[in-house]
Amino acid sequence: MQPLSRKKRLSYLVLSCLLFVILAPSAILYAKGYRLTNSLQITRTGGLYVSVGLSGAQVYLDGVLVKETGRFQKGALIQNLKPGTYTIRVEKKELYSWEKTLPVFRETVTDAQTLMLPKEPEMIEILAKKETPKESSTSTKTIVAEKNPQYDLVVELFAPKKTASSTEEKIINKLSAENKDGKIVVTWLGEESSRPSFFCLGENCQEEILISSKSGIGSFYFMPGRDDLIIFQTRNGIYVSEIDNRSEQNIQPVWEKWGLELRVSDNTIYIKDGKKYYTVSL
Amino acid sequence: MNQQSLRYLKIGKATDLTGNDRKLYRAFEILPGFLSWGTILGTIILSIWAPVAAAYFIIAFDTYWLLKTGYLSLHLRHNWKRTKYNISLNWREMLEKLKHEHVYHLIILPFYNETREVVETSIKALLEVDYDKSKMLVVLAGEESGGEEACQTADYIEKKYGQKFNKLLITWHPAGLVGEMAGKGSNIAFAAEEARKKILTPLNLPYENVVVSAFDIDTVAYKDYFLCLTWYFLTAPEPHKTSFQPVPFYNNNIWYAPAFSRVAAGSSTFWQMMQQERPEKLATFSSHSVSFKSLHEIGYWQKNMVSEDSRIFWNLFIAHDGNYAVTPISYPVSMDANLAPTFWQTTKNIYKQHRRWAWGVENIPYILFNLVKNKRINPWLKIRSAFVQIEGFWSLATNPLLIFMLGWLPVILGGNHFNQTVLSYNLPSLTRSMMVVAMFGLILTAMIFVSFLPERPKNVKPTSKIFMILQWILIPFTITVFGAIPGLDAQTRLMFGKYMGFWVTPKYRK
Repeated sequence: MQPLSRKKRLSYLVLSCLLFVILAPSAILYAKGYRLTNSLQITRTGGLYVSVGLSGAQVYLDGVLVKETGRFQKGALIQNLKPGTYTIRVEKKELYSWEKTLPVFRETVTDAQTLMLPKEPEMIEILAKKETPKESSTSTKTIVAEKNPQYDLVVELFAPKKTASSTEEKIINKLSAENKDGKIVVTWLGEESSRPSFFCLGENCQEEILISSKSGIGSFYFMPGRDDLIIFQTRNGIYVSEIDNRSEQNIQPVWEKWGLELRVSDNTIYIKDGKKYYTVSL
Repeated sequence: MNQQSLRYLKIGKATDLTGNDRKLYRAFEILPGFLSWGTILGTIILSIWAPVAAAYFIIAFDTYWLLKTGYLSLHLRHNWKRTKYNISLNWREMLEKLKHEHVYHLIILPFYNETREVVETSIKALLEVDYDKSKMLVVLAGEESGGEEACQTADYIEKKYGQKFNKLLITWHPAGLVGEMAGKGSNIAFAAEEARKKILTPLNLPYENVVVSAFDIDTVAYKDYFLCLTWYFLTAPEPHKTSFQPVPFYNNNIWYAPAFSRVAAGSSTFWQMMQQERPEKLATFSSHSVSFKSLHEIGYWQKNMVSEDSRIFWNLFIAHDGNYAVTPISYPVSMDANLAPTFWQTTKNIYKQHRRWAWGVENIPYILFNLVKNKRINPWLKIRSAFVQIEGFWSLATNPLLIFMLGWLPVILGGNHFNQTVLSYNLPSLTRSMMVVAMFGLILTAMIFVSFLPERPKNVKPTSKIFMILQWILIPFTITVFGAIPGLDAQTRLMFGKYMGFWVTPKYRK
């Protein structure tokens, strides 16, 4: 049996080279968003990426279900979209749904992060004293009320001297948020090349984003764990707003009630209702 | 042979030269590392400054790699069929048709301090081959530095097997000879000269009738190896202008080696099998055979460098002004896969062995320098030879890193603007998809590997065979850790003039 003949090897080589000449540019163009239409015309498409951060959420594009997020894929990339404007909506049971109308440009992915708060968030009251079971000498358990150190910290947090700091400028990840006459102004302090995408529509970027409420914003903070959301207090209650104003801003209530006060400390949200204090997990 | 061609034949490294020659040789030593590091650093820099261009390069490179995998798989598949065919042939019958009685085989088995069991297995395998033992001259080539145990092993072998071959000569290579590097090259060169003086001359054997097989101490010749080799030797158009390369199987102890060692060993075999179908790209590797006449003319193997197995081919190629080749005989010899008493030691040994093989990059400055100096070699042949060698070492050190690690760089380093492009979102998935398609080739790889397995020892579980197939999933890991990284390690050392010495792979049997 002879080794592979030169002729055969040459034919393999030529075939491989031909395939390379065809496949490499095709793969590059495909990766860039070029697609072949049904009428065999080449079109340049774009995409939408929505970061949901939750599994089991349904993603709709212009009212059509396109994806359900999974345990490992908690975002949805929707490709092959012709340039234009699309409405994307994300739903999940027991959470507020999120909707945004976003433009899609060719060869570009427009990205957004959802804001989906629970409709009934869990509130845990912080009591002045907490009950701890204790062993007694007769081997029976008795409940002893002890002073709760967290309560003292929270009281301190809501003390009048702290009021000023709850409305002053806050900076996180080079994003600055400032309360100006009851409106929050968010600006980017970093380099232009790394400006977050929610400031921009295609190549056009805005210098600042406003977050406002009819009843005026008091205390505000960046949402713990997120730099694209602001949690704030108005006369009517506590709300969370996305910083993104590329279409109508999504603002969702945490707790709607007259006279609530808000503080955020060590990534924990505290709410004061009259003389009671709560933590809330969202 | 032209004396001008022999002028630079035995250069080991740049420091063996002076003046401009030294500078030129040194530049050639730097070249492989420069190209490999240039590619890696270039990809990183491109990913930062021009991520789109980097992404184009990575996609084009992935496509190239996928097609190259397919292209080489076709060669592997053909050689698989050819090797199986050659194993099944009746070589005795074929040889009987030729005048072959005048051919003698000189088999050199270099050893250092390997155990009696390892040495005896190879000697026994020589006894079991189908060949007239009166035509077999065996040299057990020991190192003086091997110690008392090596002497005892040699005595034992001489007493037990001394009368079984036409001759069994024990040689002791002196330690610390001026101009020599301790290693296989200096040992077998010494042994070959001793054999000439003590066997060939007394027996009055013409050098052109003697075929030398330079084996490793763990090399086990398959049953018809010498019949097959003799046939190829006698039918070669110019038998003294070619070396003969068998397929090295690393499966003497394969059932006892850990999975990653088996994959590394199998990958080395497969690379050699692919090269067997591309003889113009083939250089001698590990155990190989060559006529004594050719060897004697150039003064045997080089004594001042590590990779004597491939260098001997380039010595002869240069000495014959490019009119020298390797005949792939597609018939196996088997050697040990890396195995040590502990998992960690096995890992270290594999790395060191592969780094020593990758140190074959020391041939690049040698080849380039001699190609520049030798005006008698066809220019086209010069370009092809240089390109094949440079591309080979560049691929070894960079391709696995580019495929498995650097493909993601533009996404990580490309910045916000790039990360908003469709290209950025598609790059990782496209790279991953191409890798998955390429991994389908592993099915063929696993089939070939299993088809050449020796019989399973009784103390090994039958289920072990399943792992002989599943193990191939480790290939991205093994070609990176035991391919690219030792390759880069060796090239970096050469680039900075930190020359390596010979590292003897320990042989361990369970």
